Amino acid sequence: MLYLAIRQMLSRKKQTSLIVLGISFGTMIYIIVAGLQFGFREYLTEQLLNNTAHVLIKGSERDLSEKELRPRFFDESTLVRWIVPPAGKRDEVRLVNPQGWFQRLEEDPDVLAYAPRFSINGIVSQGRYRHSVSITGIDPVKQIKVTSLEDYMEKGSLMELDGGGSKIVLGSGVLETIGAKVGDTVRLSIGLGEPRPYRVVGSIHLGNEQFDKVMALGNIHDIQTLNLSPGRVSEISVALTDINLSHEKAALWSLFSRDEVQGWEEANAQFMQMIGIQDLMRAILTGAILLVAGFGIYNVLSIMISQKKKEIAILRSIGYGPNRILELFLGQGLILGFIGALFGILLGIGVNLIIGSIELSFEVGKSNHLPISFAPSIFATAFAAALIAAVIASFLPAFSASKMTPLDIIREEM
Amino acid sequence: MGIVGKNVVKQFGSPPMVILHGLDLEIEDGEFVSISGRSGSGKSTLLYLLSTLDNPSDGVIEIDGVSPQKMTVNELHRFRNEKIGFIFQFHYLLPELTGLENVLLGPRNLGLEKQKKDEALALLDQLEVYKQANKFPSEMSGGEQQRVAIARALILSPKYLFADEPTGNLDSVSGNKVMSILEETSQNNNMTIVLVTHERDYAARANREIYLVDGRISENYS
Repeated sequence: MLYLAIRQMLSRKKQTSLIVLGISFGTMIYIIVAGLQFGFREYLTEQLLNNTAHVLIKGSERDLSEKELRPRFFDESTLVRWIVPPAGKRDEVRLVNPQGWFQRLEEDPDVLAYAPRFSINGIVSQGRYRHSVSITGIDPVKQIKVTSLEDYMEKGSLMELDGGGSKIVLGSGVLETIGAKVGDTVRLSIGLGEPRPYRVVGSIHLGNEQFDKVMALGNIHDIQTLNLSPGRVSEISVALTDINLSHEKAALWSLFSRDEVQGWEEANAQFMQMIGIQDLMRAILTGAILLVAGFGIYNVLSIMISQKKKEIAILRSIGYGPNRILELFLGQGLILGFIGALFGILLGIGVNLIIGSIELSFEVGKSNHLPISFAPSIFATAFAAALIAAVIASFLPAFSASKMTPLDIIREEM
Repeated sequence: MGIVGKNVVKQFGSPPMVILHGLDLEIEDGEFVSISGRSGSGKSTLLYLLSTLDNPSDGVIEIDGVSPQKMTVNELHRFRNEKIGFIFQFHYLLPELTGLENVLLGPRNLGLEKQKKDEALALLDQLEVYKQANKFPSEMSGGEQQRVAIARALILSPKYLFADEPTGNLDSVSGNKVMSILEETSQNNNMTIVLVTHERDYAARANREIYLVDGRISENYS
């Protein structure tokens, strides 16, 4: 029946073209919206993952308690009555037993890599210029395996921090603020002792001012020494073999320690909610578009079937059964859906390429173009949705046509 | 085996309006029978019952030894495809297909369009519409369209040919031509032909006439 279906569609080119255009536009709009949404999502995810790994293990903030302090000042037998009971927080947030974590992570087959970090606040200065920074001590070899920070290096490489030796990588915004460049020596102070000189071996540019203006990366041992706290680790970023295991692993590991263990999704709950809202919006938009396209197919096929009753009658009397009539009209819906979806995908890619080539006056990530996703899943979804809408929309009129008996039609015509 | 109708009743609506009142008739294989009568006499209704397009309200119809009422939908369509040809007053050609493609619709349903192509062209030639083989129905006259429709009905050499007022929409020249074709087909192919017509002259050209009056066979003519 494909032959007849094609001939019938070709005989009414205008109607066929209009339906194909309708489906194409629907598919195209979905691809544009989904491409932009997924593009932004990929960009934001990457930005977030630079700072929060699949699982982040960090020291939990702990309150001081009378029970903890009492043995430090008094022996067991002394009765102590506090005038003002001890209260407040313990010093900075740090892991209780980093070595224990390293061992556990080494042995876990689901762990791809991990990287310890030690973070403190400090002031970087050059000449008269001073600027507050967030200093993160990293193990560059391990860090590169956990995040994609290396991709954002403007100059130099994170690997230059390997082995230590008072070297530092500064955010592009920090360098700009203090008027320094790669190769210069800056002074770093954290409020303990005299400021120390560090040579700038690289600059990093994430495209996010929030990070670029405060970021300072050094070798973890150098930063631990600067802080007079050798071996101290504030957090461990963990990369898993499967990111979807992050929630499960975080829940399991948090049972072993007082440290805080957060999966990627928990750490970015707001982001995940935003993604959920985006997904819902896209689903509503897709539904609306496909409803309109489907309604077009339904209308045109219904009108055509009422115009082609005589032909259905002759086909039925020649021996074409109800299923063959169903095939004839369902086939037309499918062909229209197929061509429309294909054409829509090409149009969508074209429009997205144009949108993606527009130069913006601000930076988004590493470039000044809108991030657009061309993930195959977008096209597969668009294609499947258009085809399903076409099948549903054409099934109803096709089914009613298949139920027509030749005699009913002949009597109606008489 | 032919076509046999026993006590065939057809009624419509509620309260029921009886169109055919217990007809008994027999049409032998190879016979050319006409059914005529005034408008509303039930001649088209009888043709649709005999040709498997409709079922009687009461009574039995057997065609080629089997009752269409007992066939499944698929069996019925296969039976129509292989053994029955229809010609209607309105030719019902598919406008998006050429004359030849319209003739080959039946063979196409059986996957025989390639084998039957030469035969279809020969048939169109025989019916003097060879030049219309590659024309669309909109490019043909009414008479030419009806002859293409006859070729479509004959292409699978059906055992039974049912014609419902095939000349009703044609001028006298075209009408005569169609009648001549039916006569030749009956003589040469030993095909059983049942023709419904309200024109007495054409009815008389059949081997046998069945004349209906108010849903009953009139003895004067049968």
